[in-house]
Amino acid sequence: MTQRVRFKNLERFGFGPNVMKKLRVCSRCGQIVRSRAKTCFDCGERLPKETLFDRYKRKHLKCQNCDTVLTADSLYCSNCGNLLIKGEKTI
Amino acid sequence: MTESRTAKYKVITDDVGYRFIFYCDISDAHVCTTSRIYHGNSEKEALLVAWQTEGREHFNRCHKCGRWVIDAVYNAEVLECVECAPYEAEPKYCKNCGTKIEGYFKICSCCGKKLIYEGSAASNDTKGSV
Ligand SMILES: [Zn+2]
Ligand SMILES: [Zn+2]
Ligand SMILES: [Zn+2]
Ligand SMILES: [Zn+2]
Repeated sequence: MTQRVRFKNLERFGFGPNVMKKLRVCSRCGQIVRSRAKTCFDCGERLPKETLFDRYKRKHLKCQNCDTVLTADSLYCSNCGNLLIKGEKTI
Repeated sequence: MTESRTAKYKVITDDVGYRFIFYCDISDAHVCTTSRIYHGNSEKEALLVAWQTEGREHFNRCHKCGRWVIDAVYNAEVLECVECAPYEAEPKYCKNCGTKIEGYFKICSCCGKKLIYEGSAASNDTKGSV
């Protein structure tokens, strides 16, 4: 199964990167927002630009070459084969 | 594993009892507010009943860190939260030794390491018992 199909299947059940990319959370009341709205329809707070996927990426090791999210124990990128420079966790 | 018994919550207390608002441990998303008012000798007691009755069903527990999270931040393939286990691409290279992988393999033919993380349950060979 290709990765695209795999992620599509996960999305159908509410899981996976595609779902994270669509969601933002209001930092004041926790409302989940799917639209591009600037303010929370529940409490009026200005919504963060960051989606759940952006937050997820920020937490993990990423390939400096192709930006793939990788497990913490990776020495090489599993997508492009790039040797990872550790201790320089890109943000 | 440090297992928290319930997800993050806020409590609304009044003369009659307690209501709880449950939040996802990772995204801080508001998941549910209990529809009922719970009673008990203490807040803790009421909380556990509310959690079992109305809260728990909306969450997934990470099998590694024990946090309670919504579907969006749960890696359902390995039963862990996406902070413990990021989604991995189909490996084109071994992440341990960098060898190019041609075809579908679970183990690297060069260094013998697993190409994809299969969850903490799988790492001690209890796969299938989850
Ligand atoms: Zn809000
Ligand atoms: Zn890469
Ligand atoms: Zn976890
Ligand atoms: Zn290898």
